[in-house]
Amino acid sequence: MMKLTENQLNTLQEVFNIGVGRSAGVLNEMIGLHICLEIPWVKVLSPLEAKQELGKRLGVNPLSTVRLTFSGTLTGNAQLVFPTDSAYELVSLLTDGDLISYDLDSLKIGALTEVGNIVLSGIMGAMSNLLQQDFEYLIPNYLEDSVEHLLAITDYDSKQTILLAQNSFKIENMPIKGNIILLFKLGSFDNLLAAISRLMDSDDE
Amino acid sequence: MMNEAVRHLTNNFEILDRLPVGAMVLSSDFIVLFWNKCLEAWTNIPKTEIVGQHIEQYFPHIMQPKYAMRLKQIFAGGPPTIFSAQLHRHFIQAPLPNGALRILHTTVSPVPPGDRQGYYALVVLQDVTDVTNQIQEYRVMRDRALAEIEERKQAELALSQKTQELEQRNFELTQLSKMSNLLQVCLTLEEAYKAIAASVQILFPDISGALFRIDEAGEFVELVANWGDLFADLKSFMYSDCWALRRSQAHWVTQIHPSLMCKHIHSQPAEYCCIPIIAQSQALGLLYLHTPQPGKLTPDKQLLVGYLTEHISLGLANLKLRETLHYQSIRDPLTGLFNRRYLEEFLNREIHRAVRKKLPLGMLLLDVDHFKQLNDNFGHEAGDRVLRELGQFLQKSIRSSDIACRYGGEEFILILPEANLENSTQRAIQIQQGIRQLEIRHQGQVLNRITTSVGVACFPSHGATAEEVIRAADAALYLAKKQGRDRVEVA
Repeated sequence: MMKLTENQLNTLQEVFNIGVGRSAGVLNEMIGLHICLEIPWVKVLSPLEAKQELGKRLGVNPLSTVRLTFSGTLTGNAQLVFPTDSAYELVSLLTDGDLISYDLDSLKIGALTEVGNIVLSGIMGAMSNLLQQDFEYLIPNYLEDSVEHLLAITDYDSKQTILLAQNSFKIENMPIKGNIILLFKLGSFDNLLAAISRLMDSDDE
Repeated sequence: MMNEAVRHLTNNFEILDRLPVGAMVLSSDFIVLFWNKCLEAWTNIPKTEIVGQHIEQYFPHIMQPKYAMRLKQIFAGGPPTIFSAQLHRHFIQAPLPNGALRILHTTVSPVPPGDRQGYYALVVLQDVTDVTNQIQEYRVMRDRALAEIEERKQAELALSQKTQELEQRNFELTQLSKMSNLLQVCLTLEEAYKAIAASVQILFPDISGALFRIDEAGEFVELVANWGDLFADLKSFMYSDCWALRRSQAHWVTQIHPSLMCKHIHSQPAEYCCIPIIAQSQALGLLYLHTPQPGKLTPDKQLLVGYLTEHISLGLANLKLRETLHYQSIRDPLTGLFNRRYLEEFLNREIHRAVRKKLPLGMLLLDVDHFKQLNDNFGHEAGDRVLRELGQFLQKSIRSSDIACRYGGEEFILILPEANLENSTQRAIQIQQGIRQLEIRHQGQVLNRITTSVGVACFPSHGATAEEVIRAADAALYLAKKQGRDRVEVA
């Protein structure tokens, strides 16, 4: 399996961190509440390990996810993941109450998707700027399922390598917690390393 | 150059005219490059008019930061962006035939122009008015259904509470009936009070209380039973200290109905009640319940106390009636002494006891001298008077373990358990002499001195059975009569 040096990992972690920070800022502006970020976590894993690791980190309960899939020199997806009850609370916060029942109809899903879209655009914009990469995106979509299905890594070759970055956050004074996940496919790994080293070099200059 | 670009695009994007959704293309300087047929229909703005114009001229709100900032990200090649129907209902104003604005779900994607740098924005607008309205109607319906379910839940809860109440009523009635049955078989008031106290405790498990008896004279109230927490109030008090007794009706002091406190209550109960127990219009006792917690003596409990006291009154009245009947069946109505029937019962019992304990038993058979003459001279009323006076005297002259009976006519028997012949004879002489001292008046007239003849016999020396001892005493009495009356003879 391909390995990253500690420097490369640190750089990547920093890039991810900047992106997440920007996303959190966007979310903060939308709901008017402070977002508490935890320490980001970045690791190179096999698809199976990635699945296990995420299962451990996100739990087995159903999750609500907004996913933004991208391709180009780097391929992968960015996801905003909530436990479903946090998703209900967030929608309720955005639409001024109406939380009589815990179900998400298409209106609420639309609102949640828009929020996810804005947050994920924030992080991808930052990544794109820092790594000086252009991405092509699919329209963001909403999914509700278990960890295993949400990550869509079953179609990845088991011998391949995945770069997984995850950052959990909480919304101040609200029972809302969530995760931002970034996943790069192996095929784009060399391009990523090249982008990182360019960034590191430019720092040295 | 713009015209050239527009022409180029119009050719390129003509396919969008075939879509059943609104679609437009904006350049990075917010110029409308394409406007599809669907939008023409929705807005009544023809393509020929709007294409080439700044969007702000038709829809100025698009230039607000919340739209413009996100569109600028698209022009920079950022990810597609969604303006959801919930958060941004009208990306543009597109009225329906009825005048209401269409609710739109808007998706904006970057489109590379192909021939140069930067991106155009492809704006796709979906009319979700129907879906939104349906969802909102559904929400209203759902809320109503939920409210109904909640209502039904409340009704079920109320029903289950009612059922519980009924069960409690049933339990109470069963207890009341049990207590009544128990009172039926009580022989004395003491037993009855115990039975009542036990039942009240079961009926009011978390309420303390006491039962009082009222003395014969109706002056004092005395504690006979109490239960529950430490009972600090007086054990006996004056009848007049209790409002309930004075007014012959229940006296309640509760949170809802505060009232005067009875004088006999010295602790400070939050709530209490005094209920007189009245049988045959005579107050026999008092039921007292108290609790340190307010709200315990509920109207339900008050009703139950009412039933309870009715049962108690009835039970005690029965008991008193039975006591009277029993008294009447074993007493001689004229003298108040025991009758011959009771004598036989008592004598048999006492002789058994004497045998078992190897003790003697004395018997005095006493007859009024010249009683027939007395009747003839002064009338039967005078004779009755003498017998009554004798009865009272004999009752006073004996120990509590002895009994005095009217044996028939002017004949009396005294049974002296554990007395030997010597003691019995001595007692006979005392009694015989005592009678001689009696001064009996009848209609203002002092009657002649009454004398009696007495025969004394003793068990076991004069017989092994009651009959034998009575026969021996009778023989001794006969001897006394024969020897001139007014004397004591021993068998």
